[in-house]
Amino acid sequence: MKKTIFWGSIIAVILIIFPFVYYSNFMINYLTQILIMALFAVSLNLLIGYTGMISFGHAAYFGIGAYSVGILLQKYSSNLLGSLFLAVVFSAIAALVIGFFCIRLGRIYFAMLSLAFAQIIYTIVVKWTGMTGGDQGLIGGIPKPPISLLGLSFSIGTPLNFYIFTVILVIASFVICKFIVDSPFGAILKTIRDNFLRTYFIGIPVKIYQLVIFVIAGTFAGLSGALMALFISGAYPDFTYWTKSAEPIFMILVGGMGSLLGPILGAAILNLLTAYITMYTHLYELVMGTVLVIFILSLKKGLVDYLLESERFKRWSSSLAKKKPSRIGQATE
Amino acid sequence: MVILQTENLKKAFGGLQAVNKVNLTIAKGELSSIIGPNGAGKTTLFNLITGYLPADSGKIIFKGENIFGLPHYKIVRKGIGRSFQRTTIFPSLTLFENVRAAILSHKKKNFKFFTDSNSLEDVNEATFQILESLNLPDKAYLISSTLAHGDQKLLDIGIALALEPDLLLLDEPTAGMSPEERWNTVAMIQKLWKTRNMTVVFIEHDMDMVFSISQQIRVLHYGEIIAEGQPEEISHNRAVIEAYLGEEMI
Ligand SMILES: Nc1ncnc2c1ncn2[C@@H]1O[C@H](COP(=O)(O)OP(=O)(O)OP(=O)(O)O)[C@@H](O)[C@H]1O
Ligand SMILES: [Mg+2]
Repeated sequence: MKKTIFWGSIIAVILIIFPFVYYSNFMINYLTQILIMALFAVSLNLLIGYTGMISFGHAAYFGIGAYSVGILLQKYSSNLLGSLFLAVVFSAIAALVIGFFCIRLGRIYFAMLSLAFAQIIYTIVVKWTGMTGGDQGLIGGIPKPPISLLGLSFSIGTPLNFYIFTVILVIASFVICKFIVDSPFGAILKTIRDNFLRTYFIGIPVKIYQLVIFVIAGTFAGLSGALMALFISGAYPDFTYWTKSAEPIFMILVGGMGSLLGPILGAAILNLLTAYITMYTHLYELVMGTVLVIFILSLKKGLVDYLLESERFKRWSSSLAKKKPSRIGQATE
Repeated sequence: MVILQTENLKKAFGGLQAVNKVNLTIAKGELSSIIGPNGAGKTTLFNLITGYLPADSGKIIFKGENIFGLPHYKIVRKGIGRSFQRTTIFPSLTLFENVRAAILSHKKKNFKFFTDSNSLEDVNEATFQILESLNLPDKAYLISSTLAHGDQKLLDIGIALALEPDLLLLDEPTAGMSPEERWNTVAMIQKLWKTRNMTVVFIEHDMDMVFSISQQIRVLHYGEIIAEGQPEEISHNRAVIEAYLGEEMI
């Protein structure tokens, strides 16, 4: 726990100091986007990688977070943190309701039903023109009133400030995700992934666990969607479209599903690739698809999983002091 | 004292009466076995008792309480642990993590979000105790799917043991083991039964093993209990000999 907070803080501080050492708008915006998408991918990986629940409809919660924060700030509120919080709560509620139905089903049907619900959300977004702007999306910009907290006022209107705001929220989310996967609850998630039948036979009501993690994953997806809406100052129907659900899946496939780092790295790789490819060609999908195929066929797993399971890494890690719980049982932290 | 009793338990699969009017009475503290030819309904009987399959009719009374129709995970919490005929473990996790999950559940520490699992001293200690009683502590940090078949079977039992069940149901615990592993496992089961004060019922095809350690033997044939008694009586029972004729020599 303490170690996780420690490393989370170190990473956050490094990320925040970085633009003061070397500043470019282009890079700041890229880092912001990568962090937001990394959170989206990490949230989905709580389901796919840790619990074995393959959701094809994760964009639903991303989209609900994005539209909610946009609509709230455009029409109803001038409190940024409050709107952000409410947007995340809306995503969580949507995940609770949708999850309630989806977890009843086995793997394939779970995947299909989660996709079907996301398409329903998409349809609502497109048809409810009065609220969402329909096909056009939520245009006209999203106001970003300054945040006042503890007597201090902080505006996220500039790229740099928005970047700092994103770093803090995203890294804090990663720290919470790390807590969850290292916790007893997380240990049970892994047994559900490995063998849900046997998990029942150690006395666990598997469905409740699946619903809880589904809601947690939806909550973080909602946060990433809301950040994205603030970042680009708009929300568009494709935020809830199935192609948006596919993006974090690709990130997980490229980075690896066995760790939290995998999807983060996957998000970074795919975002950078997109940037480079679109610089040189319009055949973006073709090039990206080819890269993905080569990647998956040659490594057969995500990059981080590949590295963690390589012989060299194993030798290196076993040469380090054993941090595993031992019989005599010194606390590991 | 009776720990488990079934009354007129029935289960059919389509036209096949897999378990038929089974009346079982298992005394607390007993080490007993269920035998019977392939397809006799032994595994199905375990599946009914543990709630894995719903019974068609009958009663299942465990520690004085009717558990008929309870979901399987609740029956586990009442104190019935089981191992599986086809080894059922958590393949991508280490042995330690396999057993620890059961310990977490048993100690009701499974629904914590902000505690590091590794830091729970009592859980680690209990996990290692189980691994030691299985003679597997050296392999604690190996991924369980990389273990030999025999060790995986032991782990399957270990996961059930970690729940400290009052009644432990073992479905062919030594199937597929080498003769040496087999006898080690038998000795281990006997020892655990004695030291942990459990009631143990096991299904087994190996007659040497059945007759050497069971206090009571029940014989299932076409879903019905055709004989019940101490090893001495069972070995002379005509119905049993007929049921097994051509299948196995007694
Ligand atoms: N889920 C099921 N659906 C349909 N038929 C089943 C099911 N489970 C068991 N059966 C059938 O019920 C009968 C009893 O099976 P069961 O597995 O209980 O036998 P068993 O005594 O354990 O045999 P073995 O010694 O081979 O393990 C068999 O004919 C089997 O094919
Ligand atoms: Mg069987």
